[in-house]
Amino acid sequence: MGHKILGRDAYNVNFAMLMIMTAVEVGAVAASVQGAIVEEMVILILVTIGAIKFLGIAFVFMHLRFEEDSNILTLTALFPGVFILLMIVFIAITTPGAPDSLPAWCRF
Amino acid sequence: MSTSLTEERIRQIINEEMKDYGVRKRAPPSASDDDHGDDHHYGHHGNGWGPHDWEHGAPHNSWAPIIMSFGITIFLFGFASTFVMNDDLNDTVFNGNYLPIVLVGFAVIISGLLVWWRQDMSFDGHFEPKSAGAPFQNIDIRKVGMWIFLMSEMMVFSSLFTTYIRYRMGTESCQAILDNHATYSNGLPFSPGDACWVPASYFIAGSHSESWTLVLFPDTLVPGAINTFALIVSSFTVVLALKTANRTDLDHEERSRKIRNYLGATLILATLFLVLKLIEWFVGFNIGPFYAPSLLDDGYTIHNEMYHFAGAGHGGEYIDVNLRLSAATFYVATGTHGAHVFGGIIGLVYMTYKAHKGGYSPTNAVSIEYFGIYWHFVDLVWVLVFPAFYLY
Repeated sequence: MGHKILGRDAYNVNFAMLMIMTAVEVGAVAASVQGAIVEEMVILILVTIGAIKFLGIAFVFMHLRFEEDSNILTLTALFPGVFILLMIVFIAITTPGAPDSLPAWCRF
Repeated sequence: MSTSLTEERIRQIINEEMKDYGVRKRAPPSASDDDHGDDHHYGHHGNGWGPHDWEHGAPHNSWAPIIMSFGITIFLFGFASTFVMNDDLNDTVFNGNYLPIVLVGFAVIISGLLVWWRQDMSFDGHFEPKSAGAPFQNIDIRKVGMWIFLMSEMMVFSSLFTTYIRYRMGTESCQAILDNHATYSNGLPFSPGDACWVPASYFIAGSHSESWTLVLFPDTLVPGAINTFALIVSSFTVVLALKTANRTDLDHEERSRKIRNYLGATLILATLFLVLKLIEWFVGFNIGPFYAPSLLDDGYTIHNEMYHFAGAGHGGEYIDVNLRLSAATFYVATGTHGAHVFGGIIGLVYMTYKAHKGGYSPTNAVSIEYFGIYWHFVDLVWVLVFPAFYLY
């Protein structure tokens, strides 16, 4: 507790950042619906802001930074990342037809 | 030789013993911390409700979670058989024969929960057991437990996101098929009832939305946006509750009142989140000019195999599409998240009550921190769910 970001209380800064970022997210989608910005730009904004918000919550609110045991707990949080990566590579970014196109030696 | 054991000497002996078992002693409570009448006074050794006073005040060593897990198993076994999907009727059929099992499971969960709460109510955390095993040496064992639990939770939500990405990327967009005049990208004709992808955002944040009271964005997007802000604010109120619980400059009464208020605010925001979600799914809003029909009324259901998809920019042209894949991934992912919010609400009800009874002090503020880690995780998942399902 009592850590600072830019000279201010880390929790307050993080909270303000999350609120502003969320407003930008919703605003970007509203602009897209109105046809003011293209869909690719919206995706870029959503992914970027999502990543920043994710890190803000994990590092500041969940104490994965600024604490004595932050490093080992960060590694603990990252541990499922191995399995998540495997799922994304071998399941998420395949297509429904992918198993049919596998070489014979890959199939059961 | 006569030996008089003073209270100080007894504490010294206990501390020496605790060191060998990896148990850290927290500062004993001040008089103002310790005057709220529970059975947790220093040196007290538990009671009939269980071994909650495990070796002089350490948590928790309770068998209640095992009872609750048993109850959840019974409940889910009965629940899965009570509501059965019937493909012929294309509907969910209620099977009352399994209802008693559901109720028994529910009763076991509640009794486990009550016993657990009763045990915890008398715990003020003078000692916090430390983990002894690598790689978590000297970290509070409850904190390690919470993170191990969250690891499993990450796997649950990752599998849901993986499923979503897999089907979203592997299923052709209905809008693209409509743009192509009912023809797939490979040139084959689209048949009515074929599956293609209509994202939930089409119903929530799509340009086809019926009402635009706020001009800038459709009314259907408003509940989801409010929910997002509500969760962020609720994360912050938990932080404030923890900060307040750690303050030593306040007297016990004032501190307890503030903690209760912050936890109560979190509880209200969490309840608002679930209520808005249920309204968004089943009821919809129709307040003056503000009109946001429910997803159910809009036809976005796991049973809908013939949705008239008009898309954007095609006038009266439409195709009849099968929504089951898109709707199933949406409802399972957001529903699982909602179930976690509900779990948090159950915990918050108890914690707010405990705060009201003056049960938190700087000596046991970590209990709020560990709940906070869970609650922030729920917020974290929503940070991904909201753009992925509601906006894109």
